[in-house]
Parts: sequence; structure tokens; C-alpha cells
Amino acid sequence: MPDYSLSYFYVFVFFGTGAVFVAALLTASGLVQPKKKTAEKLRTYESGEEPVGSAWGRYPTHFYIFALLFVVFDVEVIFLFPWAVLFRTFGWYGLVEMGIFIFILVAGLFYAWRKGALTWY
Amino acid sequence: MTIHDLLAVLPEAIVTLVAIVVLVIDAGVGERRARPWLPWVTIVGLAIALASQSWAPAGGTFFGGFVVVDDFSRFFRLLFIVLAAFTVLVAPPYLRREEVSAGEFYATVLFSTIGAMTIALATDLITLFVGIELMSIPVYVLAGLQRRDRYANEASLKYFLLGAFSTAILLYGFAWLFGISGSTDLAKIAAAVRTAGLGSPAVVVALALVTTGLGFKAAVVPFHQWTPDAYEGAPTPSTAFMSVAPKAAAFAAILRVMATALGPIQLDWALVFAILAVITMTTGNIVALVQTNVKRMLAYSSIAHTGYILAAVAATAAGASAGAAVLFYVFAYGIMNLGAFACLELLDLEGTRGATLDELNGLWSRHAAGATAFTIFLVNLTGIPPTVGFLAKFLVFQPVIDAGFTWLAVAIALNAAAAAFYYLRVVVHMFMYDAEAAAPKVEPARVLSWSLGIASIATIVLGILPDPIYSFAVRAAGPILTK
Repeated sequence: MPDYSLSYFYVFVFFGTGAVFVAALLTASGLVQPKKKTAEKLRTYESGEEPVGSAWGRYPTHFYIFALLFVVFDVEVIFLFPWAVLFRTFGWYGLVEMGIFIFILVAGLFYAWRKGALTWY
Repeated sequence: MTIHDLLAVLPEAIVTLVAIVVLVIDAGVGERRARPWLPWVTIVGLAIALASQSWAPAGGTFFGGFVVVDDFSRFFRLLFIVLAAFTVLVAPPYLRREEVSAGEFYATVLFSTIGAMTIALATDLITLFVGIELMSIPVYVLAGLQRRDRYANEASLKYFLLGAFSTAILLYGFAWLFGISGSTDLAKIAAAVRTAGLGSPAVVVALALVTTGLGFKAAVVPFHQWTPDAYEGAPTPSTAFMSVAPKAAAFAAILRVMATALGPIQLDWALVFAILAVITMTTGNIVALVQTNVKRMLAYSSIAHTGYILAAVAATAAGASAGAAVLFYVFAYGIMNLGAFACLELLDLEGTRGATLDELNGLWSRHAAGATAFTIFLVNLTGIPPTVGFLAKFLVFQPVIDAGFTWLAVAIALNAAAAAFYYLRVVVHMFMYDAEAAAPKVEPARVLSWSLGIASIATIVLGILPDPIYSFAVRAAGPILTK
């Protein structure tokens, strides 16, 4: 088997191990856990919201600001990892570039903080 | 990638820095204290960005062929920086009255400007697409910046939903172009399109999707439905900006994609564009005739102007003179349309609503300078000499006839005549009728009045001495339309 196809095999092994692991844990937990089925517990989980009701209801939008801020830093990490791996290749130029990138994100975080986006009401 | 590449985009980098500085000042020292001098920070920053071009490399391709600096991109840099500065100069009184966050407004205008400048730099579909999105998303925000106004919310949501939809169509078109050529580079796509020709269905699909996507951004009929509602509901300074900068940027994108990547099949799409041009200008003008709200009327009039510019795009077979006509028209339109919308900011109107014709009655006797400036902008939009608006229309005729579209030239002339009715009707209301008892209060804003005065005089000066801008437009059209 050439190396190229072998790399797919690793992915498959990884995938298989993950699936077995999750299935085993869920089964084990299902066997030993106490079961008390109340109406509240059986309801669809909707991030703390009423799952059924008028579509025109008012709901708190705080989650969205946090979600947006999370996305910003999530994306930052996506760029940081490859940069960190190739740090030697990029050298000073890469360091300056990444500094600019992080500066922009920090300015955004500063703005969000000062405008009260991080305060939980 | 080297320092050389970063220097090539120095103006864009400086505008980005200014936007961040504005945001940080706004958040750091507080809205109330920062408000009076934020516009000046913005304008000084924009001026530095424009001047910084002299330190940047003279021209060439950068970032491994993703970015090109030529006279075309320099022309648009000048245009977008002028438009952003003009917007920032006329916005403060409105923002203060309606309690719109000033720092966010200026920063959002700057972010959109960066996107627009990026579009003009693009030689690659990826740069182009990033530029289009960077330009569009802040404009959706600008439309809804007056958060407590119902109509601003509606405008923002409509603009966003239809904008996202059209972006998807455009992106799908780009995917087809990539499928044809295996490259996102505009020149390589052109080579592949030349080989494939219009006989290939893939080219036809790509052409249709790209035309639709870019047509939406420029508000070409039948992709214009968002325009009147978005322009009318958005806060007036936002409307002023979003009626000019995104449209100019859309035409930069149209010229880059259509003339470069799809250049080999120019003769085929030219007819489509000519027909779209006639439909666009006629629809815009006819609907504008029956509007009683001046803001909505100007929205339809901007659609009509898209038609005139599109006519020049259709005539690109005539060579650089057509490209220069597009660029000159976009420049003239930018100043006169921004000015016309900004004149509505002189009146203290409720919410985002524009003035009705009756509310403009007797403006001459109440604010002579404002009424005069508004008249000059309207005369520009009509296209009466010696204004730059006249010259811009005049320059469109020659290439259109050279390209063999005599009927299109006739359509432009007829439309210009019809448009005179609704523009001059506003002038009649301002000068010949007496003000009503319930006429809206006039805003005593010095910077706003001065800016409008200078801009309106500039349109006349440019109408008489167009050379600096026109010869720049001719040089800028060179790299795009060398035949």
C-alpha cells in the first residue's frame, strides 16, 4: 500500500476509534445512570429557551454577542496554529504580521469590552 | 511576501489603521467627548492615506499576483477616499440629532471604503470577492445603524438578505469561471474563455451568474428591488454613502471581470449590457417621475444613473474612451449624488424619512445657501451644462455610437430629457412655492453647509475644467481596455 493511501487508513482508524469510544461511553453511562423522566427533562433542549411558542416572542440576544466574540478568537486560533508550526520559516516578517493581526483583534476586544458587550445583565 | 508587498497596499493599510483608531478613541474616551473631533481624525487619516501613495511602489503586481497597483486602482483610491471624506463631513449634524453612534458610523464607512479600494486592486477572483464582501457587509450595518428606527431596521434587513443572496449567485458564477479555467487569475480565465468561446455552455452559465451578481451590487434593473427601500429607510448620511461608493465599487468590479476575464466574448455580453442599460435607465426614470418623497425619488434616480454608466460599459468595444467614460461618470455621479442626498440632512425630519416635495416648499427663503447647493446638484443630475453631470453624460455618447449602439444613444438622450422633469420639479418647489406653516426646521450646521457649498462649486468647476480628472480617467482605463 503506498504512503498516500496509508494516510487515509490513519484517518479511518482515528474515525473508528472515536466512534467506538463515544458509543462505549454512552452505553456504559446509559446502563448505570438513574432515570427520572420528568416533563422538564424530556422537553427539547433549546439553549434555555421555550421550544414551543410564538415566533414573535422576545428573547435575550446576549448569547449572540458572546457567540460572535467566540468566533473572532476561534478564527484567530485557526491562523495561529499554522503560523506557530512554521514560525522559523516566516521569521521576523511572520512575527510582525501576526502582531498586526492580533493587534486588530485586541482593538476589537477592547471596543467590545468598553461598549459593555462583556457585561452579563 | 515581502515588505515590498505591504508597502504596495500602504493606503489601504492606513485607512484600516484609521478605522481602528476611530473605534478605539470612541470606546476609550467615550462617545460624548470624542464626538466633536472624530470626523477630523477620520479626514486627516484619509488625507494621509491618499498622500501615502507617493511612498508606495509605483506599480506592478504584488502578493504573488493577487493584487495589482496601476492607474485604475489609483483612480478608484482617489474616488473612494474623496467619497468617504465627503460622507464624514456631512454626517455629524444628522448623527447627533438622531443619536446615532458617531464613532461606529465613521469606522463603518472606513471599513467599507477599504473593501471598495480592495476591489479596484484585484487581479484575482479571490481578492475581488474579499473586496466585495468587505465593502458590502459594513454597508448593511450602515443601513441599520439608527437602531431604534423601524424603517432603518427594515432597510438593513432587506439589503442584507438580498445582498447575501446575490453574493451567493456571484460566488457561484466565480466557481464556474474557476471550473472553466482552473485558475482564479483574471488573465488566465480570459485565456480559457477565449479557447472555450460562447459555444461552451459553462461560459454562458458563468456569464449569466456573474452579470446577475454584479448587477445586483450596482442596482441594475431587474436586480434593483432592494434599492428604493434600502435607500429610503437607511439614515440619510448612510444613504448618501451607500448610493455612491458601493455602486462605484460595483463598476470597478464589472470592469475588472467583464473587460478582463470575459473580455474575449465582449461582443456577446455587450448586447446584453446595452439592453439592461436601456431597461435600467427607463425604469428608474419612469418610477422616479411619480415619487413625492424626494429621498425615494433620488433612489430611483440613482437606478437611472446606473443605466447610463452601464451604457458606457456596453460600449467597451470602442476602447479606452468607453472605460474613461465609465470612470468619469462614476466620479461625477459620486460627488453629485452624495451631495444631493446630503442636502436632505439640512432639514430636521422625523426619523430616517426623506422630505416630501411639499416640505421643500420655500426652502430658498429659509436657507438660501442650502437651496442653491441642492439646485446645483439636481442640475448636475439632470445633465445641464456647464456642470460635470452634463459632461459625464456627454462623454458616454461618443463611445456608445462608436461601438455601434446608436439606438442606445437615442435612449440615453430621451431618458435624460424625461429625467429633467422630476429633478427640476424639486427646484420649482424650493424656489417658487411659499413654505407651509408646518415646514420642517432647518438645521443650522456650518460644516455641512460649507461642505455642500464647496462640493457644488466643485461640480461646476469640474464641468468647465474636467482635465485633471478626465485625463486621469483615460490613463486609468488604459490597463483595463488596451485594444
